[in-house]
Amino acid sequence: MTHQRIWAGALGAALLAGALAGCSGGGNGGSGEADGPEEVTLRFSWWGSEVRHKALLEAIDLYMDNNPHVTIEPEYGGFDGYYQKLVTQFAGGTAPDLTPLSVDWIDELAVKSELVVDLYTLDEYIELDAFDADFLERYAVFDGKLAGLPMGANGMVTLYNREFLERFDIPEDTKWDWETIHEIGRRVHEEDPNAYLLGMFDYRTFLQPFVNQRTGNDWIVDDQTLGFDAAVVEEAFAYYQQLLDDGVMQPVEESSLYPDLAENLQWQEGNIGMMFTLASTIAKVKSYTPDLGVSMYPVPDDAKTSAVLVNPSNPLAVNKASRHPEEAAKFAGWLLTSPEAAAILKDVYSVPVVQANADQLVADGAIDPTVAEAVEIAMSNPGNPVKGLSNNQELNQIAQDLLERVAFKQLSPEEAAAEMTARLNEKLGSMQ
Amino acid sequence: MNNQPAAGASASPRLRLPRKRRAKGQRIGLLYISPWILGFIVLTLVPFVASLIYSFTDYSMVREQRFVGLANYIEMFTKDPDFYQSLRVTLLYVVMAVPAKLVVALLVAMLLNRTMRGMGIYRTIYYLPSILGGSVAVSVLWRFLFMREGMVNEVLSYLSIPALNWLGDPQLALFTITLLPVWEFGSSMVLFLAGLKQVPRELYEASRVDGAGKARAFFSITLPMLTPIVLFNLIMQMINAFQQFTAAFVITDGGPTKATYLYGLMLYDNAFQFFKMGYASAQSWVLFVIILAFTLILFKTSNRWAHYEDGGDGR
Repeated sequence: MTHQRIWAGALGAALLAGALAGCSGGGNGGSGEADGPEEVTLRFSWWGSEVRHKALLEAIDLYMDNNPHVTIEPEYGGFDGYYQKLVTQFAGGTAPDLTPLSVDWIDELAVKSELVVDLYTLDEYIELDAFDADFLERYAVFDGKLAGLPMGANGMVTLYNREFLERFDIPEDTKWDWETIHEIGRRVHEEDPNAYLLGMFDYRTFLQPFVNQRTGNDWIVDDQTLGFDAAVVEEAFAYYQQLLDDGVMQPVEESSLYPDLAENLQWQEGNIGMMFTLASTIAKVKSYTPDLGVSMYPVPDDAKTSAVLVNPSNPLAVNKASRHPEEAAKFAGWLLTSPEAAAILKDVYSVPVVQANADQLVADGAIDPTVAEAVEIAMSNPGNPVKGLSNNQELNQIAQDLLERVAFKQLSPEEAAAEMTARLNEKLGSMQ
Repeated sequence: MNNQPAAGASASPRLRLPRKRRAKGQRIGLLYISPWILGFIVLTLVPFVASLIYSFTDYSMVREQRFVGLANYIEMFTKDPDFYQSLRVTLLYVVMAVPAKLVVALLVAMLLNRTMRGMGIYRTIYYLPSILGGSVAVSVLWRFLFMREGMVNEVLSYLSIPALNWLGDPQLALFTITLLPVWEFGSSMVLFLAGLKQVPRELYEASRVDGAGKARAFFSITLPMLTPIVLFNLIMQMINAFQQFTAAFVITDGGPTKATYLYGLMLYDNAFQFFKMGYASAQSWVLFVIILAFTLILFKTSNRWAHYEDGGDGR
């Protein structure tokens, strides 16, 4: 019995010690030295590649050297599961002080749930003048609130394999529209049955912009109704099927295995000529296909809007529950506006939005010229920002599923268009 | 039978323990089992009840939740085509995967029931896929094996069989996904093996005397004697199959055209892609009821085909 008592006592003591340690751990970042600035600990979380991790860690070290009262705890990993983890942390009250947001999360996290600070309220700690005011207003402000500081500028372009274009005598300065894609793509496939001008489409790289160009509207307009009718979507679906039938695109039975075209073996072997993609993906595509060029996303002459997607690359947001929002804002401001931070980050978040830093990096050759050119091309003719419900993941999944069923010929363009408008209308009705 | 009086004799002094000592013994017993009880309450019971409550709300984790009554259930049954698609796909998957897995498990168990040198090593080797089988790594490997340019098609080409689009063809993708769990037959195999060891040798000897061949002995002795284990394996594997997630998530992500959109994947999408936790909770309760119904049906019908030496009433 004595043994049992000893064990029970030891277990109790261990639990108590653990609990006390836990309590005391929560008090860090509290009081500092009486005459110095308050000791602050910030948690900064992000996702990305190894290059991005290294650059951010180096920048954090530099900031902590210059601001010894600030400790920044980095939390980083891959993109898979990041959103799920972040939302769970917000729900549990354990979200980091600073986190980048993907643009399609902003509606949920910043607008509807108001979980992040409106950075306009912390403008005394951030040099907002360094940013292009129009860019901020257009892409990072939602309902009058600045949801985050853009870590870079991103845009949709046509990315092509130079060797492929040369092989099929396609001039690099071709002005692409949907008609030329069909004509040239058909010719390419006739010349070489193993070659395709394009890999595959999704709702974001094709359906939304194609329809928006025809209507001039947003995908979902502000009153939460569809910005298009069934006839326009039917036209888009019919065009897509035509491209597949004529061998302009790789058969969907093959391409659907690779959601990321850069990993498609046919692309890597040089049998697919081009793709529509965001500038931020160019570095990855280049690792498979080094000789790439960029041009404007297809815009027909009669388009009512270019519908060229321009995005802030991951706006950096401050958690509303942060105990030190001012210090978090100071760090975010320094990270995205100071020349020394820009020199460390280079193009890990595409091209910096602060023009002076972008110019300096281009001059120093620190930014991949293809990425810089891609952003410049996209920004020269941007479409309306894709915001709010136009970015809703559930609505977009419906569009994506139907696009896929058209490609597999399970639905005719007419049936798919009717089903899409009906399902989106129903879903929008239940969201109101 | 001879042990019973002894057992009774050992039980009676325990009953005569002083009340204080008995209570103390109970407390210590509870202390020992408390990690499990705590784990069960916090990690199983509370989420179980909470999910039922959430199923009547529009809980989204980050926004304020509202009580919506039966709206989630009504939407599921009347407005969500994905629900019926995933239900259809999942039922097909269960119907294909469970019997296939049990047949393979039984065949391998019979092979490993022989007496030969090094049998322990073979049993361990055949159990290994079950340890690895459900992992993401093996699912990724599966994806590469069954790619258009993968090893399976490579082998087929040597046999002059045309290459198949295992994962890109909506007609074939579910079948390919089904092959993965069949590979993880280990736990069922071990149970079958234990069952085979219990079959009295005399029955086989008697059947041989009566002139029965091997096939007749299998269908008239082995299989009937194994039916209680078949029942157990069937129920456990069916429950697992209804909840399958990893294979569809990693290998095909539910595609192409939702041909492999298993119920677990739909639940995941609603819960963790769209954060419709209330709706996903309702869907998980529907899955629970479906599994319960199938389990009850199997139990109720088992007295027609599962044979117990003691007649099934435990005597």
